[in-house]
Amino acid sequence: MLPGVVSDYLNRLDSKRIPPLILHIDADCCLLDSWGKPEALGFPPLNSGVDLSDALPFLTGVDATRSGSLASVDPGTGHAIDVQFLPDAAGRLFVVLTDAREQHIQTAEQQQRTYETRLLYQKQQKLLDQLIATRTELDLRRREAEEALRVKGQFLASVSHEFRTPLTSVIGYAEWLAKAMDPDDPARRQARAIARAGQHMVTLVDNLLEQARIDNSEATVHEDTVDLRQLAEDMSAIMAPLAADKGLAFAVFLDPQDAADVVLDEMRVRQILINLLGNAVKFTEEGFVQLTLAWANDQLHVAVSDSGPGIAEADRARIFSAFERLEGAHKRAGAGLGLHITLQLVKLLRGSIGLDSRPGEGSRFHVRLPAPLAEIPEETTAPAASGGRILVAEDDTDIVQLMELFLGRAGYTLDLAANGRDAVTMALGNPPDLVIMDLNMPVLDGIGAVRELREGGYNGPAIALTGATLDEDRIRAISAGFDGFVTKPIRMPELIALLQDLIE
Amino acid sequence: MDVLTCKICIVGDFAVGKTSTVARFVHNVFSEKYLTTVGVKIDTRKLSVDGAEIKMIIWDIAGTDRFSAVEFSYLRGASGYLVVADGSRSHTLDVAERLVQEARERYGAVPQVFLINKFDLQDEWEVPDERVEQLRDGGESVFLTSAKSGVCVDEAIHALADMLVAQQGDQ
Repeated sequence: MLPGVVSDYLNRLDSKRIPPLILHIDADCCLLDSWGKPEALGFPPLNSGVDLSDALPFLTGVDATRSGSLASVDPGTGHAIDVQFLPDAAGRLFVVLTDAREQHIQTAEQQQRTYETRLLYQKQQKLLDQLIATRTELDLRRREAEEALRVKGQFLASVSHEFRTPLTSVIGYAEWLAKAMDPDDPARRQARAIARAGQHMVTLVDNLLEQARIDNSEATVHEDTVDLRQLAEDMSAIMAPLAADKGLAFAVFLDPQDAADVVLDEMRVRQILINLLGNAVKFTEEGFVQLTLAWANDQLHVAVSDSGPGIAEADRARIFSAFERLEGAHKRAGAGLGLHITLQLVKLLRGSIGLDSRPGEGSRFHVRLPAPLAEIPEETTAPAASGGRILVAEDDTDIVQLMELFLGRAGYTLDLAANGRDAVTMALGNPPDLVIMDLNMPVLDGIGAVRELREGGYNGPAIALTGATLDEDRIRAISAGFDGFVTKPIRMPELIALLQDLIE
Repeated sequence: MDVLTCKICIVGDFAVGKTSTVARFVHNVFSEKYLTTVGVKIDTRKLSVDGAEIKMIIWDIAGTDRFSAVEFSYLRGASGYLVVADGSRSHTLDVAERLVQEARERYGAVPQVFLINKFDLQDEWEVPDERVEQLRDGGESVFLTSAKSGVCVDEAIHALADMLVAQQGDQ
């Protein structure tokens, strides 16, 4: 006979459920009596008098004096049950076990979906956090890299400036000596060699500076009138001695019909040619290196051929990458920048570059650059004596003397100032026909001096002289009041042509 | 020989590896498939600790970040807790500490061991060493476990068994 507390509980149960199992147990979990079928809830047959703590482990530690329930319990049978503890007024403990499988399965399905979704969300959130952290880190690295590039650019500009001032003297005096010497004097060739070597150093500095500009996306095209015959001669003068040192035959070909004056960025074209020829000489151990220049349909066609080791097809794309040098027998010292810069320069000039090569059969680099015919071929040699009074403000005495030599011979009278302050005083006191001022001078620099000159009413032309070659320096100089800008090392014929234009 | 029978509850947030830890400890098996636990699942294993027999009835309670009345009903009468967190989800350690606190406030302090699980997921590990040291400095027993590889699972549960046997001896 079931006590009232159990009957009342059973009356409240869902009638659709499997009939419950009711156990009457003592304080030691021994079964005293039972109602229902244990097998229906996944239990083995339960006999009166046996200890239930193994078969029904949830009975362990139960407080026999208090009612309570456990929902959705799997006692190790794989069969979920709800458990209700029902002590009666007489101190007996009844346990009602009801089937909970249906509810358990429904809850499990729903809970599985919910938790899997939450896990996915948490993983997604973690990935997003990682992405944000990575992006933040990358932004930081990018800013650091940009800053490093900026500093590198400044450093290279500064180095370039420092090199250009002494190179002005080296090249200028070497050229002066060569001109002054007897044509038959062997020392004349040596003086010209000094000038060429100086010019080569300028090219090397330009290469470094160019890479900095390309890295900073600051490279711009400066179109000049280029005499292709002069270009061919210059390349021969620069490269032939290097090839001769290695016992290589060196030749430059330019059909006289193609010897036109064309519009090109001369400095960049020279860099391209020197880089290609320099590589050809460097990697060719015997045989020849040759340069062919041709001009047709407003395009300059360049071919640099050699009898060197050649380049395998698999390596062709790689050689144009920065800091790439081929492994193996042909590995040489160097930064691996030459071809990379060449490719960047060709792109900058809207041209194309290609390579024909097979291992053991030499290489032939061919470049095409847009080069329209120059409208008015300019005579770039020193003009005849013209005259005029020029104030030269420059603190480097070697350069001052060089100007005295060249400009004096060209018919100009020079007033000399060693700093910007003196230059302002002299120019405002007795205005010259033209002012040439170094930008980097003691006491008062060129920018400050030209501002004071303009404010003081000096309206004559003013030329800035500097070792810096960055566009921003040009803009700064022109904005301050200069009319022209000459970069060291000074090419005297060009300076004189500029003077003539401005004074007229 | 008397057998010490103890009800042990294993608690923690969802998907931290409670069921896998019990499966590794009781049956020495592991499954990669995540299957949520509903309600409570009970398993039993006997251990021998310093010559004493201890029967551990392990109540594997469905994962949660807060105990409700249902979970509190499972905790009643527990002799000790296995508190599990997922080392690749560091917030589950916060949850584990909070659950322990809730259980302690309801039923008083009992021996407990922290298992920071999924130690095999080194690339995704989030719990810093300092946090583990902090717990240990606070007097907690902390084990870095992997139910997948079995690393430190037995050690952690044996540590709890040791505490229970020692506590029994004191009584």
